[in-house]
Order: sequence, then C-alpha cells, then structure tokens
Amino acid sequence: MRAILIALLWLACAAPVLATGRQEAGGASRDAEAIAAYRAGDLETARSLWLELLEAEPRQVSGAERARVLYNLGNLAVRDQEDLRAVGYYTASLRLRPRDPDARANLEFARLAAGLPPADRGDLSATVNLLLTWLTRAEAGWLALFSMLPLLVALTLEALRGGRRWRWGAVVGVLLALVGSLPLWVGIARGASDPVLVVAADGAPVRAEPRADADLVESAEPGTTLERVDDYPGWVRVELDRGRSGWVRSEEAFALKR
Amino acid sequence: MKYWKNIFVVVVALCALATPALPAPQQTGPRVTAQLDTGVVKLGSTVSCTIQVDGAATATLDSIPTIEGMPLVRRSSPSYHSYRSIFNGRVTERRTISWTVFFRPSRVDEFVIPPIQLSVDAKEVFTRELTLTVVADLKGQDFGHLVFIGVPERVYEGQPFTVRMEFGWDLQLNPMVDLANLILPWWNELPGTLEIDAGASSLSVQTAEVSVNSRVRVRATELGSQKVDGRDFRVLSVTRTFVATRAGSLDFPQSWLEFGKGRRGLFGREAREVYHVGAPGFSIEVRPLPTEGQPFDFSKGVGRFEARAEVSRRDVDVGESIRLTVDWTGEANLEFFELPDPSRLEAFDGFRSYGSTNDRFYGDRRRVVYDLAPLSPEIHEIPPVPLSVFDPDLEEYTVVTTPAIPIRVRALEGAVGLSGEEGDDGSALFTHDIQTQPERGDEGGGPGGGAVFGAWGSLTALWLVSRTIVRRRGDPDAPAARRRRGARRKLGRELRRTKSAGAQSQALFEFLGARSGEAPEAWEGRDVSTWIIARDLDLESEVARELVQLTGELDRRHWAGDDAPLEESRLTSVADRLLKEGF
Repeated sequence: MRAILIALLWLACAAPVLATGRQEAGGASRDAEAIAAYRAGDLETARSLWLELLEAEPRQVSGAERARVLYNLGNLAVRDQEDLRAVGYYTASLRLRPRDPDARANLEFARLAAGLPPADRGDLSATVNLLLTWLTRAEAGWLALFSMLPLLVALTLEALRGGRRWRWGAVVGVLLALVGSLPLWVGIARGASDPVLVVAADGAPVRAEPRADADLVESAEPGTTLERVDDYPGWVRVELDRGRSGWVRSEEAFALKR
Repeated sequence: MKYWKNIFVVVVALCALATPALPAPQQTGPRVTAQLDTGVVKLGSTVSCTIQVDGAATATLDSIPTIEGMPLVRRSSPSYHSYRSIFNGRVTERRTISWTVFFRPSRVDEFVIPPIQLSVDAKEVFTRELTLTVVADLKGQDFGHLVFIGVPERVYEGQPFTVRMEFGWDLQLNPMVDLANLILPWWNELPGTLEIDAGASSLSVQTAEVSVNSRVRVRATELGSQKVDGRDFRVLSVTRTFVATRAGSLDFPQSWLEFGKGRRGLFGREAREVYHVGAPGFSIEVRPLPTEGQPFDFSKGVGRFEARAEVSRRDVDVGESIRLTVDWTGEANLEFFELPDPSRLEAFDGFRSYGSTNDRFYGDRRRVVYDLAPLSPEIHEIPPVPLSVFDPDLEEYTVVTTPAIPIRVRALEGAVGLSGEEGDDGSALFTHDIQTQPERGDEGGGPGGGAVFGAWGSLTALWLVSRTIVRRRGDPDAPAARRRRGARRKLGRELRRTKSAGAQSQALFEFLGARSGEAPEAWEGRDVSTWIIARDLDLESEVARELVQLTGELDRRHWAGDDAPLEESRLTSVADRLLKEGF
C-alpha cells in the first residue's frame, strides 16, 4: 500500500514531464538561401527570406530558431543603419533565447548607436530582471518542476512518518518550489504581454484616434517599450501610463513578440 | 440761632457721611494720548512714541504720518488692557488700547511729529503734536567706526555683488563694550535680490557674534586692532553677497552701529551707556543684460568665470565610460547658470553622453560630473566644454572653456568602432556576425504553467489522501509508532553492548514488545507458539519455530547455564526475518 502511495506521489510530478511534447525544426533550406544572399550582399532577398521564415507556424520553426532569425534580421537592420529597428530585433530575439551572448552584445552596441541607455544597467533591478529572464520558457518550466522535488520528498515523509521535522521540511519545500517557479511565472507574464518598441528616431506621436489629424496625446520617446492593446490597419493602440492609451503608426512601433 | 447752627452742623455731617454712598464720577468719554519716551535723543538712537486710548470699546491706528528725516522703524500690534473697579458696590470697567511706534532720526534737527489719526468708537480722533530734538552723538562718532567697502556703483542683472561692512570702536573703550548691534534697515529687505550663501568660513578665521537689528545674531570676522583716524580701533567685518535679479536701483538706507554698555548690573545700578555711529545710505544701479549679441547658448552666467576639468581615466576602450569633472569658479553667479550639455555640442559628436551627475554648489565653486563614452578609437581628446557667459568687466558676452584633455581610446577586439566611416561595410561594425548554424529545436516545449499547476494540485491531493490513509492506522508520529519503527535499530545497538544471555533476552523482548505494541515484560515466559496462533499472525512456521528456539535457548543459558551470550547474528537474523514477514 505504501509503495503504491509513493509511486502515485512521484507520478504526480512525472506526469507533466512525460506529457511534454517536442517541437519540430524546419525551414532549413530557406534559411540557407537567406544566408547565401546575405553573404553575397543581396540584403533584400535575405531579409524577405528570413521574414518568411518568421511568418511560418511556430510548429515548423522552433523558438530558438526564430530567435536566430530575429538576430540575423537585427544585423541586417544595422547594415541598413536602422539602429532602433536593430534594437527591436535583438530584444525580440533575446525574449526567445535569453542567454544568446551574440544577441546581448549586439543589442548593447545597437542601443549605444541609437542613443539609448544600456539594456543592462547593472543595478539591482536590472540584475534581478536578468536573473528572472535568464531561462527560456521550457527551461523555466523544467526548473519549476524539479524545484518541486524537495517538496515531494518532504510531503512523502510527512504523510508516512508525520512529525514536526517533516512538516517544516514541507514548508521549506513549498518555498523552494515557489522560488523555483518564479522564472516560469515571469515568463508566462511576459508571454502574455504584447510589447512594441518605438522605433521612430524622433519619437512617435501618440494620437487619441487612429487618424493622422487626431489630437496628440503625447510623444513616445524612441526606444520606449509600450504595451499593444489593439490594432487597426496601419495603426497600433498602445497603453500609456495612468490608464491612458493612444494610437501610434504601425511602422513606428516594432512588435517584440515574434 | 444756635438751633439753626446745630441743624447746619448735622446736615454737613450727614452729607460728609453720605459722600461714599454717592455714585462714582462718570467719565466724559474716550481719552487719546501720545507720548515720546524722551524729548531729546542722540542721532542713531531709536525713539518710541506710545499712543494710548482710554475708555473706548474699539480703536484702530489708521496710519502713521511720514516724517522727513525720521523714518518709521516699526509699529507694534495693539495692546489691550482692561481693569475693573468696585466703587460703593458699583462695578466699573475701563479698557485701554495702546500702540508703540518706533522712529529713528537720520539727521540732527528739531522734529515735529504731526497729529496721528485714530478711529475711536467709529469717530476720527487725533493725537496732539509732539516735538523731538535730535542731537549729534559726538562720542559715538568719535569712538565708533562704520564703513562700507568695495560696494560697486553698478552691476548687471544676474551679477553677484558683495556688501562688506567694517565696523568697530576705540580700543580703549573695548573693556566696557558688551553691546554691538548693527542697525541695517536693508537687512533681508532688498527687493530684486537673492542672497548667496558664502559657504563655511575657514576655521582659522576668528569671529565674534554681533546682533543685527536687535533681532538676529550673525558671525562677524574679527580683523583685530587697526588704525582709524590715527587711533587704535577694534575692527570687525560682516560680508553679504547678493545676486541682482532685476534691473533697477537697489537702495541701501543709512546704517548704524550701536555699541557700548548695554547690560545693566545685577540690581540695575550701573547706567546703560550706548553710542551710535552711522554710515550714509547708498544705491547700486542694476543694469539689464544687453540683448544685442546675446548668443543662443547663453547660460545665464554673469561674472568672471574660470573653468577647470579633469577625467577619471585617460586610457579607455571604445564605449567605456569616462567621468569628466568640471569645476567653475570665480566671482560669478555660480549657483544659477545653466550647465552646458555635451550631448548638444558638436564637439562631443564622437561621444555618447549619459548625462551629468553630482551637480553641486560648494560656495566657491560649482562642480558637475559628466558621464561620457567615446564611440571611436579615432578620438584623441575630450574637447573643451564651452560655457557662454556675460563678462561685466568687458561688458560683453564671452565663452569660458575648459582645457582639452588628451585621451587614448582603444578599439574593441575585432571592431573598428561604433560609428562607421561613410562607405564602410556595416557588418564590420559588429564583433558578432550573423548566426548560420540552424537551431535544431532540441529545446522542446517544456512543461508550461498548466503542467506545473497540475503537479502542484496532484501533489497536494495525493499527499492529503495518503496522509488520511496512513493515519487510519494511527498517528505515525505517536510514541508507540516511533518505538515500533526504531525497534530494529535499538536491538542492534543493545546487542552490541550486551555480554550475557540475560541481557540479550531483555533486548530481544524490548524489540518484540515494541513491534507488537506491548511492554517488554509481556514477552517474559510467553509461549510464543501459542501467542502466534492466538493472534492469528501470518508468520512462517520456520521463523516462528526459530523464535521459540531462540527464546528457549536464551532462557536456559540465563537461568540454568553460565549466562554466556548467543551469537549476535542469530538474534538479528531472526529479527530481520520477523520484520520481513510483516511482524
């Protein structure tokens, strides 16, 4: 009986692991063509091919692969001297593959060239943010599950043996599991958000309605990240502070969720 | 006749007796008086005039007439006094309202203070005319000293200027002087100026405390003994620095130094002896800044500026931060000018400016720290930081610059800089090329929030279920349960210590008692076979037989033999087999 209970407890943790599927990589030939075009100096072809890859279904192109394509598009933007757009591509790439050193280095260079402050300011909040976003969603999910192991052990022993020691063990296990799952919740929250980066060099006018002659609500600084709440052909509705919102032209707002 | 005379005496006596019973004499109405505290006063002294209204319900002092040569210093708030008297059982209440008005004559003259108008019980009433004779304080002029030094005749709007007063008294008088009061009507009363904090004075400078306008105490710099008109004087100085904020004229009225023996003795026996010496008033013309030729980047700095700069490091990599500290000093409005912004200066195009920090004013200098990052190894110096100011001596706008500071900027490995030359291949700007190796997608989806939530839920549910099931058989943390769990370990420990069959028998009974939930004594002399049958235990007959043999063997050795111990392994083996059988 006891053996069955232990097995069930462990199965509770193992079930999600077993249920997790795998993604498929794809689009290799199109990528090879894009790379060849880039090397040959045909930047337009390279861009269109990589953009096509990005538009493919997520099942066909994995998150890591999308991050690589975004990174390459960032380099293309730099060659076109579109520093703010490059910042957007690198930031979007890092959202999918946060530990890519190339993307991180190029992001800092692009931000410097675009006149923006560094992405990693080195202060406490930036460091905490970096730690919480250091893992991909999948890694954060595994970490959340594995951080439940001490809790599982503690609960098993508490159920079978009881006693204060194992009750405290369970409390510590809960804390560990919560801390371990923090990156996952942060990742889920980031995944749920739909941010856009203002890429207009002189700032983007935020208007009350999606019309060029609508009232100006405020001007968004270049490099500012705003939350997208709605779309209209040629326009993006963004959330401002104090519950306000406004519309910016879609060519001035770079979507970071790709 | 004698009869009438007696009647007259009686009537007079009755009248005399009846007098106290008569009502108190009635006042005819409010009475207004004005009185100077003295009729003759020394030049520089303050004279007070007390105006009093008796017997009025309400009274207001409307205005004080302006007297040429004798300005009003201040007027007090109305003071109310009321008193009651009971006269022959009648209560009489009197009310007095009074004001005190202070004047300070500025010349020797015979002054007439015209009637002062009051409103008393809604009627206009005037005081009587008063006369005051002001005589020169010859001793004060002789023994005292007060001058203003270096006061400019004109300044420009925004230009700081200093008012320095030197004052003192004859050194022979010094032992008796315990009062020094500067009477400065312009103190804190200069419209169109901002006073600048001169900063902390040096510790080596001797100071003395003097009062200003009998209200505030200020530190005066002790200048020691100095010759004034051929005589030795103790001289002190007070300096104040102002910035003129608007064009016009700044008027400084006549100032006075009041000095002498101000304190009375313990019982007021010693006389107060105070002298006055004055300094004539003066004006400073404040000119507006010329609009002609004013540069667009004018910093609003006015004065004589000097600039100095230093850097935190001179050998850096491209993009590394350099802290440029700039100090502006000089006789200028250091506190108020606008700092130059390198990000708006063409000379700093090769730098990324991260703004300024530590903008602080230290009294004698303004310091700011700029955070700059060179963008290219082609940069060889930090360019001069210009500050556009107005120089009042030259009466024109000039530019004050810091010296250029040579630096070495090293290129990053594999990079040529952050802002390429024209016609450069853009890809060369970056150390990190495009990524050509496809990601194999081996990352997988990973468990999501639902899976983790599911794991949390399942874990909690299973824990609750298993806990409930386990506790149906009793609390696993109860002493009996703990004893049962620890029985085998305890048996091992006990057997290692025992040296006799009796002790081994005791250890075995403790083990059996703990496992069966009984006291160890219950196993002494127990017929094990019968007990197993009676409890309907599912023990193999071989284990049961061995246990019976073991207990019998131990009893025999203990009670009939030499009490020699059995092999430890025999007992532990039986115990292990019993546990394996679920005992």
